[in-house]
Amino acid sequence: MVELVLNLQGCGHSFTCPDGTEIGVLGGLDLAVRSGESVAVAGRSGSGKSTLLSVLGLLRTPHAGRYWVEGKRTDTLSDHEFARLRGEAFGFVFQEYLLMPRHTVFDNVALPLSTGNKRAWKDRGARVRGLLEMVGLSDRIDAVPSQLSGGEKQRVAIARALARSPRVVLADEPSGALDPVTADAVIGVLLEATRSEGVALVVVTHDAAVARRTDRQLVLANGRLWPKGAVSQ
Amino acid sequence: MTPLPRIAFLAWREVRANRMRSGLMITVIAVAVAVMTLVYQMGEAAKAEVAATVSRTQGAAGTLRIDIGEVEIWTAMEALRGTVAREDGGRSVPLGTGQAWLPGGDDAVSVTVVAVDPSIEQAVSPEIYQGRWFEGEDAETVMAGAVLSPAGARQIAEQEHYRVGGSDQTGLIGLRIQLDSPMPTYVQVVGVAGDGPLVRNHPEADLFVALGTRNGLGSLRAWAARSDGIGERLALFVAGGAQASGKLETSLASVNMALRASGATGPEVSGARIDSADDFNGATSSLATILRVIGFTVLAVAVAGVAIVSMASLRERAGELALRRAVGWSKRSVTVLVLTETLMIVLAGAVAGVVAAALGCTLLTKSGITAQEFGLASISVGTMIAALSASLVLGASLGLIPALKAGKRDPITLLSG
Repeated sequence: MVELVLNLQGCGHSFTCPDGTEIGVLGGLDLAVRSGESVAVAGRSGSGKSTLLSVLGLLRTPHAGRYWVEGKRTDTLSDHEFARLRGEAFGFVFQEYLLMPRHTVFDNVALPLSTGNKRAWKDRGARVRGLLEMVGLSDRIDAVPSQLSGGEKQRVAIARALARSPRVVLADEPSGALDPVTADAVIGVLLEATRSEGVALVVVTHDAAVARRTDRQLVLANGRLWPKGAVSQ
Repeated sequence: MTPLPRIAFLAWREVRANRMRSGLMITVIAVAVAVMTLVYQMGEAAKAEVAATVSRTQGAAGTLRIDIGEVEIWTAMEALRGTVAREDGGRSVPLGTGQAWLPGGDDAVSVTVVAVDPSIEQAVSPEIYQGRWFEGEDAETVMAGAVLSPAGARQIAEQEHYRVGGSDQTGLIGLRIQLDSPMPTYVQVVGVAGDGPLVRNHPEADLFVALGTRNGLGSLRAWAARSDGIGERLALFVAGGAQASGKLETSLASVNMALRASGATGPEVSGARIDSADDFNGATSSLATILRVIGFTVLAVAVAGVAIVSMASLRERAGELALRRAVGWSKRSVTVLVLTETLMIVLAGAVAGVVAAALGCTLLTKSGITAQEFGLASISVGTMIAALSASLVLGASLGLIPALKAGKRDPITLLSG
């Protein structure tokens, strides 16, 4: 039986406008992600994709519903436990890479290991080198972000997301800032790296080509997730 | 929470990664700490200098007071009356001679202490009542004090002090009479050898007769031998320096022997110390405090500047801080990281500042531009510790503001939507 790493049930979330009006973004949303699975979430701008990603990544607490990460209920966790689970279970890839500009590639990739256990911290050299080799950047270990191309920066971000061996990588428009050729290569690296590490991937994207390369494609509309094709884009 | 050594390591990496900014802030702190250290050291040195001077001139515990006990007053007064009538037409009688050093003067002047029969008050020159009778032409002038009738003594006592000498000698000198007896009973003489300015404003500094220095003890003995009939009690205040204070017991024994030899009866002379050093130390402590406040303010401004730069840099580091939160750092860990960075910068600056101050002092002294008069010949360990401690306390206090703000950075801001 394949293990469920993420299980979101009946998730609801809304925002309050300055004039007091409530706008519901997510409502009664269900999502289950299995270990090693890759899932693409598409949707119009403002449909709530980033809100969903923030809920999945424990960056935000949903207003309604329940959420289990690796079987652990998250609505009872303290801020500290929340942060710890987020560091252990998730890796993040952002549209704008978000690398530390004055730090080397090594330091950027090693960043998540700073919250890991003593062994992970001690062995970070080998871990970082292994990941950089996986994403094809072993020769850029001492470079700083300003010396890297957009594709290279995103590959560094992918290596960073995998550094602490998370159960799920959450990618927010990972190819949004790249040209199509580079985007294709980077998505290839992302999919290959997550598969080889046995990590689930949830990627939010506008790019149909990216979505097609995942195991499952979903569309976020009207606050819920639908199988691709069930909703007219 | 992320382990502290790891946070410290990462903070160091962060400081190193931002060399330009960190270097600038370290320089600012170093300059401020150097200034603070020098100013602080000046205050401490001034305080120590005055304390040492007070100790040297007044003894470790301050002014030395010797009370000469009761003598057979009536017998003595009768004898005195006869002496007065014989020698001074009923006006005065010499009680003793000695040497005194005027405030601000280096040369000793001769002192003659005289007594006046209280029953012949009318014969005393009005100048005595007005206290002008001590005035002399120069430093070599023979001076005298007096024991007066209660009324005359009261009049003089109200004036408290008498001046002596010309325009260049304005130190206080004279006798002070206390009227706690029907008869003139209490004469105080304050003696000081050297360092007159230190006791110039001493409330008891009326007449300076040295004890334990120069010929003061000898003159005291001579004076004591002749003074057994003067009053119920006669107190001699001596601020003759550490040497005199250190010889308190010897001095008292000498005085008692002299009194006994002269046939005086009554209790022996006893001695006690009056702590006047606090007055002087209090004044220099105030000066030191002002200098400390100045130094501390300079440092506070510099550290506040660092805190403001840290605060401004939070915007630049928004992504990085939010990212740390996203990868599992707790709010507290981020707060501690930013605070540690500030403390590292402040500590590095403080160490550099103290070293610069110490080197500066050494160079000044070696180059002949001596800093001795400013108390800057060297920086004491206490000053160094004070500078480092103040820097860290300020750094921790002011660095906490940007650190807390950093901890509140919301990782949601990283998402594209």
